[in-house]
Amino acid sequence: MLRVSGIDTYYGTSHILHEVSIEVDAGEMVSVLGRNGAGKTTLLRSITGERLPRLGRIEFDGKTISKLASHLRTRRGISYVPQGRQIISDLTVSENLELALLGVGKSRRIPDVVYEYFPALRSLTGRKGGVLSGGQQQQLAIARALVQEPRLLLMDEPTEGLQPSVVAEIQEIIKRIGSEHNCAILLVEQRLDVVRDVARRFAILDTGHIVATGPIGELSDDVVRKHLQV
Amino acid sequence: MIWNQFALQILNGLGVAAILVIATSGLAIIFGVAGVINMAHGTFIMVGAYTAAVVNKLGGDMFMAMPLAFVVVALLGLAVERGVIRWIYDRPLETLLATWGVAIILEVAARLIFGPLGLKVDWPDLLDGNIKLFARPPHYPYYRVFHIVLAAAIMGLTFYLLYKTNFGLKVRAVRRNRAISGCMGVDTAKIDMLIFMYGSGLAGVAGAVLAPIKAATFDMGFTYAVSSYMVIVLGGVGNLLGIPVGAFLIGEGETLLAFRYNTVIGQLLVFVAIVIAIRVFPRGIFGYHERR
Ligand SMILES: Nc1ncnc2c1ncn2[C@@H]1O[C@H](COP(=O)(O)OP(=O)(O)O)[C@@H](O)[C@H]1O
Ligand SMILES: [Mg+2]
Repeated sequence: MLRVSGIDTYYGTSHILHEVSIEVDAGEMVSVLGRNGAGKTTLLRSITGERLPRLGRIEFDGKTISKLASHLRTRRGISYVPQGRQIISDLTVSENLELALLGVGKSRRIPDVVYEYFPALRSLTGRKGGVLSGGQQQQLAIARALVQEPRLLLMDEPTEGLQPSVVAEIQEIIKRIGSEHNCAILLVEQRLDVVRDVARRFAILDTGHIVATGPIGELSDDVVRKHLQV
Repeated sequence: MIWNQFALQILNGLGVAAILVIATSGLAIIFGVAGVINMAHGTFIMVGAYTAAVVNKLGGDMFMAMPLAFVVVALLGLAVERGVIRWIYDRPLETLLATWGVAIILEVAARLIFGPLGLKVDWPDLLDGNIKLFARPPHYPYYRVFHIVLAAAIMGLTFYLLYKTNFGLKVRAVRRNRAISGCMGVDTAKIDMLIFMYGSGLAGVAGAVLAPIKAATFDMGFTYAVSSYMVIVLGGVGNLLGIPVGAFLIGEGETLLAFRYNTVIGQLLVFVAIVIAIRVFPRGIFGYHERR
Protein backbone atom coordinates (compact mmCIF):
# COMPACT_ATOMS: atom_id res chain seq x y z
CA MET A 1 0.00 0.00 0.00
CA LEU A 2 2.81 2.40 0.95
CA ARG A 3 6.06 2.04 -0.89
CA VAL A 4 8.96 4.38 -0.17
CA SER A 5 11.75 3.76 -2.69
CA GLY A 6 15.23 5.17 -2.24
CA ILE A 7 14.38 8.65 -0.95
CA ASP A 8 16.95 11.30 -0.07
CA THR A 9 15.66 14.11 2.13
CA TYR A 10 17.47 17.29 3.15
CA TYR A 11 17.04 20.23 5.49
CA GLY A 12 18.68 22.94 3.43
CA THR A 13 22.14 21.56 2.79
CA SER A 14 22.13 18.89 5.51
CA HIS A 15 21.55 15.53 3.92
CA ILE A 16 19.39 13.56 6.38
CA LEU A 17 17.93 10.50 4.62
CA HIS A 18 20.09 8.41 2.30
CA GLU A 19 18.29 6.13 -0.16
CA VAL A 20 15.72 5.08 2.38
CA SER A 21 13.25 2.41 1.32
CA ILE A 22 10.41 0.93 3.33
CA GLU A 23 7.08 -0.74 2.57
CA VAL A 24 3.87 -1.11 4.49
CA ASP A 25 1.09 -3.46 3.34
CA ALA A 26 -2.60 -2.82 3.93
CA GLY A 27 -3.55 -3.38 7.56
CA GLU A 28 0.03 -4.10 8.54
CA MET A 29 1.90 -2.72 11.56
CA VAL A 30 5.51 -1.76 10.87
CA SER A 31 7.84 -0.13 13.35
CA VAL A 32 10.75 2.19 12.64
CA LEU A 33 13.48 2.32 15.26
CA GLY A 34 16.62 4.37 15.58
CA ARG A 35 18.59 6.58 17.89
CA ASN A 36 17.75 10.23 18.39
CA GLY A 37 18.60 12.16 15.27
CA ALA A 38 18.65 9.08 13.04
CA GLY A 39 16.03 10.59 10.74
CA LYS A 40 12.83 8.83 11.86
CA THR A 41 10.75 12.00 12.06
CA THR A 42 12.23 13.18 8.77
CA LEU A 43 11.09 9.92 7.18
CA LEU A 44 7.52 10.47 8.40
CA ARG A 45 7.62 14.10 7.27
CA SER A 46 8.70 12.95 3.84
CA ILE A 47 5.63 10.71 3.73
CA THR A 48 3.23 13.44 4.95
CA GLY A 49 4.68 15.98 2.53
CA GLU A 50 6.02 18.34 5.16
CA ARG A 51 9.48 17.81 3.62
CA LEU A 52 9.76 16.87 -0.03
CA PRO A 53 12.51 14.32 -0.77
CA ARG A 54 14.95 15.41 -3.45
CA LEU A 55 15.40 11.93 -4.86
CA GLY A 56 13.43 8.71 -4.86
CA ARG A 57 9.75 7.97 -4.97
CA ILE A 58 6.85 7.52 -2.56
CA GLU A 59 3.82 5.56 -3.75
CA PHE A 60 0.47 5.09 -2.05
CA ASP A 61 -2.04 2.67 -3.54
CA GLY A 62 0.26 2.32 -6.53
CA LYS A 63 0.20 6.04 -7.32
CA THR A 64 3.17 8.35 -6.89
CA ILE A 65 2.60 10.95 -4.19
CA SER A 66 6.17 12.25 -3.79
CA LYS A 67 5.30 15.75 -5.00
CA LEU A 68 1.75 15.95 -3.68
CA ALA A 69 0.80 18.69 -1.16
CA SER A 70 0.30 17.50 2.44
CA HIS A 71 -3.43 17.99 2.56
CA LEU A 72 -4.00 15.89 -0.55
CA ARG A 73 -2.08 12.98 0.97
CA THR A 74 -4.26 13.24 4.06
CA ARG A 75 -7.37 13.19 1.91
CA ARG A 76 -6.13 10.02 0.23
CA GLY A 77 -6.05 8.25 3.57
CA ILE A 78 -2.76 9.00 5.32
CA SER A 79 -3.18 10.44 8.82
CA TYR A 80 -0.43 11.59 11.12
CA VAL A 81 0.17 11.59 14.86
CA PRO A 82 3.22 13.85 15.06
CA GLN A 83 6.02 13.75 17.58
CA GLY A 84 5.29 16.01 20.54
CA ARG A 85 1.51 15.76 19.69
CA GLN A 86 1.39 19.18 18.00
CA ILE A 87 -2.09 19.89 19.25
CA ILE A 88 -3.18 23.33 18.09
CA SER A 89 -2.94 24.96 21.47
CA ASP A 90 -5.46 27.79 21.20
CA LEU A 91 -8.16 25.65 19.63
CA THR A 92 -10.39 23.66 21.96
CA VAL A 93 -10.38 19.87 22.05
CA SER A 94 -13.56 19.87 19.94
CA GLU A 95 -12.11 22.33 17.47
CA ASN A 96 -8.97 20.25 17.06
CA LEU A 97 -11.13 17.25 16.22
CA GLU A 98 -13.42 19.29 13.97
CA LEU A 99 -10.43 20.59 12.07
CA ALA A 100 -9.34 17.03 11.36
CA LEU A 101 -12.88 16.19 10.20
CA LEU A 102 -13.14 19.24 7.94
CA GLY A 103 -9.69 18.49 6.55
CA VAL A 104 -10.90 15.25 4.99
CA GLY A 105 -14.23 16.73 3.87
CA LYS A 106 -16.38 15.32 6.67
CA SER A 107 -18.96 17.27 8.64
CA ARG A 108 -17.97 18.82 11.98
CA ARG A 109 -19.95 16.29 14.02
CA ILE A 110 -17.52 14.44 16.28
CA PRO A 111 -18.12 10.69 15.89
CA ASP A 112 -18.74 8.48 18.95
CA VAL A 113 -15.66 6.42 18.21
CA VAL A 114 -13.60 9.19 19.81
CA TYR A 115 -15.23 8.68 23.19
CA GLU A 116 -15.26 4.89 22.85
CA TYR A 117 -11.50 4.98 22.55
CA PHE A 118 -10.90 7.93 24.85
CA PRO A 119 -13.70 8.35 27.40
CA ALA A 120 -11.57 10.93 29.22
CA LEU A 121 -11.85 13.35 26.31
CA ARG A 122 -15.62 13.67 26.69
CA SER A 123 -15.39 16.03 29.65
CA LEU A 124 -12.58 18.04 28.07
CA THR A 125 -14.21 19.06 24.80
CA GLY A 126 -14.40 22.77 25.70
CA ARG A 127 -10.84 23.02 26.99
CA LYS A 128 -8.07 24.64 25.01
CA GLY A 129 -5.67 22.04 23.61
CA GLY A 130 -2.73 23.79 25.20
CA VAL A 131 -3.87 23.22 28.78
CA LEU A 132 -4.21 19.41 28.53
CA SER A 133 -1.72 17.08 30.19
CA GLY A 134 0.76 15.21 28.01
CA GLY A 135 -1.30 12.03 28.15
CA GLN A 136 -4.53 13.85 27.30
CA GLN A 137 -2.83 15.61 24.40
CA GLN A 138 -1.58 12.29 23.11
CA GLN A 139 -5.11 10.90 23.26
CA LEU A 140 -6.36 13.93 21.36
CA ALA A 141 -3.59 13.60 18.77
CA ILE A 142 -4.57 9.98 18.15
CA ALA A 143 -8.30 10.80 18.17
CA ARG A 144 -7.67 13.55 15.65
CA ALA A 145 -6.14 11.02 13.27
CA LEU A 146 -8.76 8.37 14.05
CA VAL A 147 -11.76 10.53 13.08
CA GLN A 148 -10.26 10.83 9.60
CA GLU A 149 -10.71 7.05 9.16
CA PRO A 150 -7.25 6.67 7.61
CA ARG A 151 -5.99 3.58 5.81
CA LEU A 152 -2.45 4.40 6.85
CA LEU A 153 -1.60 5.92 10.21
CA LEU A 154 1.83 7.44 10.81
CA MET A 155 2.70 7.66 14.50
CA ASP A 156 5.81 9.39 15.79
CA GLU A 157 6.85 8.32 19.30
CA PRO A 158 3.33 8.30 20.77
CA THR A 159 4.57 7.12 24.18
CA GLU A 160 7.37 9.68 24.50
CA GLY A 161 7.41 11.46 27.84
CA LEU A 162 4.37 9.67 29.28
CA GLN A 163 3.98 7.90 32.63
CA PRO A 164 4.19 4.08 32.50
CA SER A 165 0.45 3.61 33.14
CA VAL A 166 -0.39 5.96 30.27
CA VAL A 167 2.16 4.22 28.04
CA ALA A 168 0.32 0.94 28.59
CA GLU A 169 -2.98 2.58 27.65
CA ILE A 170 -1.59 4.04 24.44
CA GLN A 171 -0.01 0.68 23.62
CA GLU A 172 -3.45 -1.00 23.88
CA ILE A 173 -5.01 1.73 21.76
CA ILE A 174 -2.46 1.22 19.02
CA LYS A 175 -3.21 -2.50 18.93
CA ARG A 176 -6.92 -1.84 18.94
CA ILE A 177 -6.74 0.62 16.03
CA GLY A 178 -4.72 -1.89 14.02
CA SER A 179 -7.19 -4.72 14.58
CA GLU A 180 -10.56 -2.92 14.67
CA HIS A 181 -10.03 -0.43 11.86
CA ASN A 182 -8.03 -2.49 9.44
CA CYS A 183 -5.67 0.44 9.34
CA ALA A 184 -2.00 0.05 8.50
CA ILE A 185 0.32 1.70 11.00
CA LEU A 186 3.86 2.96 10.54
CA LEU A 187 5.01 3.42 14.11
CA VAL A 188 8.15 5.25 15.15
CA GLU A 189 8.86 4.13 18.70
CA GLN A 190 11.88 4.00 21.00
CA ARG A 191 10.46 1.55 23.55
CA LEU A 192 11.49 -1.93 22.47
CA ASP A 193 8.88 -3.65 24.64
CA VAL A 194 6.12 -1.70 22.92
CA VAL A 195 7.54 -2.41 19.48
CA ARG A 196 7.91 -6.14 20.20
CA ASP A 197 4.32 -6.25 21.44
CA VAL A 198 2.55 -4.41 18.62
CA ALA A 199 4.62 -4.55 15.41
CA ARG A 200 4.81 -7.32 12.84
CA ARG A 201 7.91 -6.04 11.08
CA PHE A 202 10.65 -3.55 11.92
CA ALA A 203 13.14 -1.30 10.16
CA ILE A 204 16.09 0.42 11.79
CA LEU A 205 17.39 3.80 10.73
CA ASP A 206 20.97 4.69 11.60
CA THR A 207 22.22 8.17 10.58
CA GLY A 208 19.79 8.28 7.73
CA HIS A 209 20.40 4.79 6.36
CA ILE A 210 18.15 1.75 6.72
CA VAL A 211 20.53 -0.74 8.29
CA ALA A 212 18.25 -3.64 9.21
CA THR A 213 14.73 -4.81 8.42
CA GLY A 214 12.80 -7.98 9.01
CA PRO A 215 9.98 -9.68 10.87
CA ILE A 216 9.81 -8.57 14.48
CA GLY A 217 11.21 -11.92 15.67
CA GLU A 218 14.52 -11.02 14.06
CA LEU A 219 14.95 -7.92 16.20
CA SER A 220 17.79 -9.58 18.12
CA ASP A 221 19.77 -8.23 21.04
CA ASP A 222 22.75 -8.06 18.71
CA VAL A 223 20.95 -5.74 16.31
CA VAL A 224 19.72 -3.64 19.20
CA ARG A 225 23.22 -3.32 20.65
CA LYS A 226 24.72 -2.39 17.32
CA HIS A 227 22.20 0.19 16.11
CA LEU A 228 20.03 1.37 18.97
CA GLN A 229 22.04 1.59 22.15
CA VAL A 230 23.90 4.81 22.78
CA MET B 1 -20.56 74.33 27.68
CA ILE B 2 -16.98 73.18 28.15
CA TRP B 3 -18.28 69.70 28.91
CA ASN B 4 -20.26 69.67 25.69
CA GLN B 5 -17.09 70.58 23.81
CA PHE B 6 -15.18 67.84 25.54
CA ALA B 7 -17.85 65.20 24.88
CA LEU B 8 -17.87 66.22 21.24
CA GLN B 9 -14.09 65.79 21.05
CA ILE B 10 -14.39 62.31 22.54
CA LEU B 11 -16.96 61.47 19.89
CA ASN B 12 -14.79 62.98 17.17
CA GLY B 13 -11.92 60.84 18.44
CA LEU B 14 -14.20 57.83 18.13
CA GLY B 15 -14.87 58.80 14.52
CA VAL B 16 -11.15 59.04 13.82
CA ALA B 17 -10.63 55.68 15.51
CA ALA B 18 -13.36 54.23 13.29
CA ILE B 19 -11.56 55.47 10.18
CA LEU B 20 -8.36 53.89 11.50
CA VAL B 21 -10.15 50.56 12.03
CA ILE B 22 -11.60 50.72 8.52
CA ALA B 23 -8.22 51.56 7.00
CA THR B 24 -6.24 49.03 9.06
CA SER B 25 -8.34 45.87 9.29
CA GLY B 26 -7.36 44.51 5.87
CA LEU B 27 -3.66 45.02 6.52
CA ALA B 28 -3.98 43.51 9.97
CA ILE B 29 -5.75 40.32 8.96
CA ILE B 30 -3.24 39.62 6.19
CA PHE B 31 -0.36 40.21 8.59
CA GLY B 32 -2.04 38.28 11.41
CA VAL B 33 -2.82 35.16 9.39
CA ALA B 34 -0.46 35.01 6.43
CA GLY B 35 2.41 36.83 8.17
CA VAL B 36 2.90 39.23 5.28
CA ILE B 37 3.26 42.97 5.73
CA ASN B 38 1.61 44.29 2.60
CA MET B 39 3.48 47.45 1.65
CA ALA B 40 0.92 47.94 -1.12
CA HIS B 41 -1.91 48.26 1.41
CA GLY B 42 -2.13 52.04 1.01
CA THR B 43 -2.30 51.75 -2.77
CA PHE B 44 -4.98 49.06 -2.41
CA ILE B 45 -6.99 51.68 -0.50
CA MET B 46 -6.26 54.09 -3.34
CA VAL B 47 -7.59 51.61 -5.91
CA GLY B 48 -10.78 51.30 -3.85
CA ALA B 49 -11.06 55.09 -3.82
CA TYR B 50 -10.71 55.33 -7.60
CA THR B 51 -13.28 52.58 -7.96
CA ALA B 52 -15.66 54.79 -5.98
CA ALA B 53 -14.70 57.79 -8.11
CA VAL B 54 -15.52 55.89 -11.29
CA VAL B 55 -18.81 54.66 -9.86
CA ASN B 56 -19.54 58.25 -8.87
CA LYS B 57 -18.84 59.48 -12.42
CA LEU B 58 -21.21 56.87 -13.77
CA GLY B 59 -23.95 58.14 -11.49
CA GLY B 60 -23.67 55.67 -8.62
CA ASP B 61 -23.06 56.64 -5.01
CA MET B 62 -20.61 55.55 -2.33
CA PHE B 63 -22.87 52.79 -1.02
CA MET B 64 -22.92 51.15 -4.44
CA ALA B 65 -19.17 51.61 -4.74
CA MET B 66 -18.41 49.75 -1.48
CA PRO B 67 -19.21 46.18 -2.63
CA LEU B 68 -17.70 46.86 -6.04
CA ALA B 69 -14.50 48.19 -4.48
CA PHE B 70 -14.37 45.06 -2.30
CA VAL B 71 -14.56 42.83 -5.36
CA VAL B 72 -12.15 44.86 -7.49
CA VAL B 73 -9.44 45.06 -4.84
CA ALA B 74 -9.98 41.46 -3.70
CA LEU B 75 -9.27 40.40 -7.30
CA LEU B 76 -6.24 42.68 -7.33
CA GLY B 77 -5.11 40.99 -4.11
CA LEU B 78 -5.68 37.60 -5.71
CA ALA B 79 -3.48 38.56 -8.66
CA VAL B 80 -0.70 39.84 -6.38
CA GLU B 81 -0.88 36.78 -4.11
CA ARG B 82 -0.93 34.22 -6.93
CA GLY B 83 1.54 36.11 -9.08
CA VAL B 84 4.12 37.16 -6.51
CA ILE B 85 3.60 36.54 -2.82
CA ARG B 86 2.93 32.84 -2.84
CA TRP B 87 6.42 32.11 -4.08
CA ILE B 88 8.10 34.11 -1.29
CA TYR B 89 5.85 33.69 1.77
CA ASP B 90 8.66 32.43 3.97
CA ARG B 91 11.07 35.25 2.98
CA PRO B 92 9.77 38.32 4.86
CA LEU B 93 12.23 40.83 3.41
CA GLU B 94 11.39 39.79 -0.11
CA THR B 95 7.65 40.11 0.53
CA LEU B 96 8.29 43.65 1.79
CA LEU B 97 10.22 44.54 -1.36
CA ALA B 98 7.83 42.80 -3.70
CA THR B 99 4.71 44.43 -2.26
CA TRP B 100 6.49 47.76 -2.27
CA GLY B 101 7.16 47.21 -5.95
CA VAL B 102 3.47 46.50 -6.47
CA ALA B 103 2.67 49.77 -4.68
CA ILE B 104 4.94 51.77 -7.00
CA ILE B 105 3.43 50.15 -10.10
CA LEU B 106 -0.13 50.85 -8.90
CA GLU B 107 0.69 54.45 -8.06
CA VAL B 108 2.27 55.09 -11.45
CA ALA B 109 -0.65 53.37 -13.17
CA ALA B 110 -3.23 55.43 -11.25
CA ARG B 111 -1.40 58.61 -12.18
CA LEU B 112 -1.25 57.64 -15.85
CA ILE B 113 -4.91 56.66 -15.99
CA PHE B 114 -6.53 59.32 -13.82
CA GLY B 115 -3.99 62.13 -13.99
CA PRO B 116 -2.10 63.93 -11.23
CA LEU B 117 -5.15 65.73 -9.85
CA GLY B 118 -7.62 64.06 -7.54
CA LEU B 119 -11.09 62.88 -8.45
CA LYS B 120 -13.82 64.12 -6.20
CA VAL B 121 -16.29 61.64 -4.77
CA ASP B 122 -19.61 62.97 -3.49
CA TRP B 123 -21.05 62.15 -0.12
CA PRO B 124 -24.23 60.15 -0.47
CA ASP B 125 -27.27 62.28 0.36
CA LEU B 126 -28.09 59.99 3.23
CA LEU B 127 -24.95 61.09 5.09
CA ASP B 128 -25.61 64.81 4.70
CA GLY B 129 -26.48 66.49 7.92
CA ASN B 130 -25.84 66.26 11.62
CA ILE B 131 -27.15 64.70 14.76
CA LYS B 132 -28.08 67.50 17.17
CA LEU B 133 -26.53 66.16 20.34
CA PHE B 134 -26.62 69.49 22.13
CA ALA B 135 -28.87 72.52 21.88
CA ARG B 136 -26.24 74.54 20.05
CA PRO B 137 -23.76 73.69 17.28
CA PRO B 138 -21.30 72.20 16.55
CA HIS B 139 -23.32 69.05 15.95
CA TYR B 140 -22.10 65.54 15.24
CA PRO B 141 -22.06 64.70 11.52
CA TYR B 142 -23.85 61.63 10.15
CA TYR B 143 -20.79 60.52 8.22
CA ARG B 144 -18.92 60.00 11.50
CA VAL B 145 -21.77 57.86 12.75
CA PHE B 146 -21.55 55.89 9.52
CA HIS B 147 -17.80 55.33 9.99
CA ILE B 148 -18.36 54.06 13.51
CA VAL B 149 -21.12 51.68 12.38
CA LEU B 150 -19.02 50.44 9.47
CA ALA B 151 -15.96 49.88 11.67
CA ALA B 152 -18.10 47.87 14.08
CA ALA B 153 -19.60 45.93 11.16
CA ILE B 154 -16.17 45.06 9.76
CA MET B 155 -14.99 43.85 13.16
CA GLY B 156 -18.23 41.92 13.64
CA LEU B 157 -18.06 40.29 10.22
CA THR B 158 -14.42 39.35 10.73
CA PHE B 159 -15.20 37.92 14.15
CA TYR B 160 -18.05 35.92 12.69
CA LEU B 161 -15.87 34.60 9.87
CA LEU B 162 -13.05 33.58 12.18
CA TYR B 163 -15.02 32.14 15.06
CA LYS B 164 -18.32 30.90 13.65
CA THR B 165 -17.51 29.32 10.30
CA ASN B 166 -15.62 26.26 9.06
CA PHE B 167 -13.39 28.59 7.08
CA GLY B 168 -12.55 30.49 10.26
CA LEU B 169 -11.59 27.34 12.13
CA LYS B 170 -9.14 26.50 9.37
CA VAL B 171 -7.79 30.05 9.40
CA ARG B 172 -7.18 29.96 13.15
CA ALA B 173 -5.45 26.59 12.83
CA VAL B 174 -3.26 27.69 9.92
CA ARG B 175 -2.28 30.83 11.80
CA ARG B 176 -1.05 28.72 14.69
CA ASN B 177 0.61 25.86 12.89
CA ARG B 178 0.68 25.77 9.13
CA ALA B 179 2.52 22.46 8.74
CA ILE B 180 0.26 20.49 11.06
CA SER B 181 -2.86 22.06 9.60
CA GLY B 182 -1.69 20.81 6.21
CA CYS B 183 -1.22 17.33 7.67
CA MET B 184 -4.79 17.54 9.02
CA GLY B 185 -5.98 17.99 5.44
CA VAL B 186 -6.29 21.77 5.33
CA ASP B 187 -5.30 23.34 2.02
CA THR B 188 -3.12 25.96 3.67
CA ALA B 189 -2.16 27.68 0.40
CA LYS B 190 -5.84 28.24 -0.34
CA ILE B 191 -6.42 29.67 3.15
CA ASP B 192 -3.54 32.11 2.66
CA MET B 193 -4.96 33.07 -0.71
CA LEU B 194 -8.50 33.63 0.56
CA ILE B 195 -7.25 35.67 3.51
CA PHE B 196 -5.19 37.80 1.17
CA MET B 197 -8.31 38.39 -0.93
CA TYR B 198 -10.45 39.20 2.09
CA GLY B 199 -7.90 41.63 3.53
CA SER B 200 -7.43 43.27 0.15
CA GLY B 201 -11.19 43.56 -0.30
CA LEU B 202 -11.41 45.34 3.06
CA ALA B 203 -8.75 47.79 1.86
CA GLY B 204 -10.94 48.41 -1.18
CA VAL B 205 -13.97 49.15 0.97
CA ALA B 206 -11.81 51.48 3.05
CA GLY B 207 -10.86 53.38 -0.10
CA ALA B 208 -14.46 53.69 -1.25
CA VAL B 209 -15.52 55.01 2.14
CA LEU B 210 -12.58 57.34 2.67
CA ALA B 211 -12.60 58.85 -0.82
CA PRO B 212 -15.40 61.38 -0.12
CA ILE B 213 -13.50 62.82 2.86
CA LYS B 214 -10.93 64.47 0.58
CA ALA B 215 -10.77 62.97 -2.90
CA ALA B 216 -9.33 59.97 -4.69
CA THR B 217 -5.69 60.82 -5.38
CA PHE B 218 -2.87 58.62 -6.63
CA ASP B 219 -0.80 59.30 -3.50
CA MET B 220 -3.58 59.12 -0.88
CA GLY B 221 -2.55 55.64 0.22
CA PHE B 222 0.60 56.78 1.95
CA THR B 223 -1.05 58.62 4.85
CA TYR B 224 -3.50 55.82 5.54
CA ALA B 225 -0.78 53.20 5.27
CA VAL B 226 1.37 55.00 7.84
CA SER B 227 -1.52 55.28 10.31
CA SER B 228 -2.37 51.62 9.70
CA TYR B 229 1.16 50.49 10.50
CA MET B 230 1.02 52.56 13.69
CA VAL B 231 -2.26 50.96 14.74
CA ILE B 232 -0.79 47.49 14.19
CA VAL B 233 2.46 48.29 15.96
CA LEU B 234 0.50 49.58 18.96
CA GLY B 235 -2.36 47.07 19.06
CA GLY B 236 -0.73 43.94 17.69
CA VAL B 237 -2.57 41.33 15.68
CA GLY B 238 -2.41 38.41 18.14
CA ASN B 239 -6.07 39.04 18.90
CA LEU B 240 -8.91 40.63 16.97
CA LEU B 241 -9.13 43.30 19.68
CA GLY B 242 -5.69 44.68 18.83
CA ILE B 243 -6.96 46.80 15.96
CA PRO B 244 -9.93 48.52 17.66
CA VAL B 245 -7.93 49.08 20.84
CA GLY B 246 -4.91 50.47 18.97
CA ALA B 247 -7.18 52.61 16.79
CA PHE B 248 -9.12 53.88 19.80
CA LEU B 249 -5.98 54.94 21.67
CA ILE B 250 -4.48 56.66 18.63
CA GLY B 251 -7.76 58.23 17.46
CA GLU B 252 -8.68 59.64 20.85
CA GLY B 253 -5.10 60.62 21.62
CA GLU B 254 -4.68 62.59 18.41
CA THR B 255 -8.08 64.23 18.62
CA LEU B 256 -7.90 65.28 22.26
CA LEU B 257 -4.32 66.52 21.98
CA ALA B 258 -5.18 68.41 18.81
CA PHE B 259 -8.07 70.00 20.74
CA ARG B 260 -5.79 70.93 23.63
CA TYR B 261 -2.79 72.06 21.55
CA ASN B 262 -2.91 71.67 17.75
CA THR B 263 -2.96 68.91 15.13
CA VAL B 264 0.80 68.73 14.59
CA ILE B 265 1.59 68.59 18.30
CA GLY B 266 -1.19 66.02 18.74
CA GLN B 267 0.28 63.70 16.13
CA LEU B 268 3.77 64.23 17.44
CA LEU B 269 2.80 63.39 21.03
CA VAL B 270 0.88 60.30 19.92
CA PHE B 271 3.90 59.18 17.92
CA VAL B 272 6.15 59.63 20.96
CA ALA B 273 3.60 57.76 23.09
CA ILE B 274 3.63 54.86 20.61
CA VAL B 275 7.42 54.72 20.70
CA ILE B 276 7.26 54.50 24.49
CA ALA B 277 4.48 51.90 24.32
CA ILE B 278 6.64 49.70 22.08
CA ARG B 279 9.22 49.54 24.88
CA VAL B 280 6.53 48.12 27.15
CA PHE B 281 4.75 45.98 24.52
CA PRO B 282 7.41 45.11 21.93
CA ARG B 283 4.87 43.13 19.90
CA GLY B 284 1.93 45.44 20.42
CA ILE B 285 -0.62 45.21 23.20
CA PHE B 286 -2.04 41.92 21.93
CA GLY B 287 1.16 40.55 20.36
CA TYR B 288 1.47 38.54 17.15
CA HIS B 289 2.84 35.24 15.90
CA GLU B 290 5.55 34.71 13.36
CA ARG B 291 4.50 32.87 10.23
CA ARG B 292 5.04 29.11 10.71
N1 LIG C 1 14.03 21.60 10.87
C1 LIG C 1 15.27 21.09 10.81
N2 LIG C 1 16.27 21.81 10.26
C2 LIG C 1 17.51 21.31 10.17
N3 LIG C 1 17.87 20.11 10.62
C3 LIG C 1 16.94 19.33 11.19
C4 LIG C 1 15.57 19.78 11.30
N4 LIG C 1 14.87 18.82 11.91
C5 LIG C 1 15.72 17.82 12.14
N5 LIG C 1 16.96 18.11 11.72
C6 LIG C 1 18.14 17.24 11.79
O1 LIG C 1 17.87 16.07 11.04
C7 LIG C 1 18.38 14.94 11.69
C8 LIG C 1 17.27 13.90 11.84
O2 LIG C 1 16.28 14.44 12.70
P1 LIG C 1 14.96 13.65 13.02
O3 LIG C 1 14.39 13.13 11.75
O4 LIG C 1 14.12 14.54 13.83
O5 LIG C 1 15.50 12.46 13.88
P2 LIG C 1 14.74 11.44 14.84
O6 LIG C 1 13.27 11.66 14.67
O7 LIG C 1 15.18 10.10 14.37
O8 LIG C 1 15.19 11.72 16.22
C9 LIG C 1 18.97 15.41 13.00
O9 LIG C 1 20.36 15.51 12.84
C10 LIG C 1 18.37 16.76 13.20
O10 LIG C 1 19.26 17.61 13.87
MG1 LIG D 1 11.85 12.24 15.99
